[in-house]
Amino acid sequence: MSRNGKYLVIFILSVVVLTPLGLMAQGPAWGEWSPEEIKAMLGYVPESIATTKPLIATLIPDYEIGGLGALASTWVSAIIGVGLVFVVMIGIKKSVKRAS
Amino acid sequence: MHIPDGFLSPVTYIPATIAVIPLLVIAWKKTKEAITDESFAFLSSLTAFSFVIMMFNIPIPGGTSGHAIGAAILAILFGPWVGAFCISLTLFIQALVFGDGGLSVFALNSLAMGFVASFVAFYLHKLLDGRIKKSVVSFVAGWSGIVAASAVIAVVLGMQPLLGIDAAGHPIYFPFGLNVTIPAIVGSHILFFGVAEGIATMLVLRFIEKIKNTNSTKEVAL
Repeated sequence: MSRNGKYLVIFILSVVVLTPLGLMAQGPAWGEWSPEEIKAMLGYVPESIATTKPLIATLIPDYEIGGLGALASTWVSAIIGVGLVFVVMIGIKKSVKRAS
Repeated sequence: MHIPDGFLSPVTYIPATIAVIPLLVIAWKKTKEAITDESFAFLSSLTAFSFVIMMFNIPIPGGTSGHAIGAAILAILFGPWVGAFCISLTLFIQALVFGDGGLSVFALNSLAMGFVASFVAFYLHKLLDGRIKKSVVSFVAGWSGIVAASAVIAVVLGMQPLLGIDAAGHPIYFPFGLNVTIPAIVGSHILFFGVAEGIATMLVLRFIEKIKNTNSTKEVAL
């Protein structure tokens, strides 16, 4: 691996290790509320927010993995996210090579 | 800033989806051109970084939170189209696997955080580069990109009460108007998350420059 590659791996790994710091924020992002939170705020849930189902069921909703604690969930989610980014990027790189 | 499913009227997300498709096709082509053996490690690491930095939720007064997006770094190093593609890829993984941002409204999240943030950061950087201190340019580019993206999200969400009211007089989609969304979303990005994006842009660009310089025996073309 090139020296750049080594530095970059260390860089990404250290950020991944630090992700649980994000758990310190208790509140959701402004506007990204669940139907329950909106109900508590307004006394009703707007129709579309109450009835719209996600197009497909997500694998790891809210970066929480059943059976794992918050800390481990966050690490595993970060690793999965980083892994998927690399898988797609490698795929793109290979498709470029094949085309040329 | 990730808009969930059900928050927007189809009148909003259907045209946005139609608009974002050709843009993503261009961004995809530009990204394929940009991926070389030399740039690959940087491009994929910095895209992964954008995924991870979006998990760093920063609590702010008022009980809410937010985060940086890392768009400016990619846009400055690889151009705005590549930045837009890489951030959109991150957003797509977040929506698909983690339910962070709705898939049906993906176009809006991609337009705001991917395209608007990348293009604003890139052109501000281009405009200011060489005129003032490098770290200040990086900070301003990052800050402006995310603030511009937050303005798009605030306008899109704030429009929703005008686009559907049910029989009881309640909004059908996102319930708060522009008078609420602009100060809440744009205000919090001006004061907090823009600063986080600015600092992240500054630090990471400095880091990238440093590792490229220490590796001067090998020419690294970005």
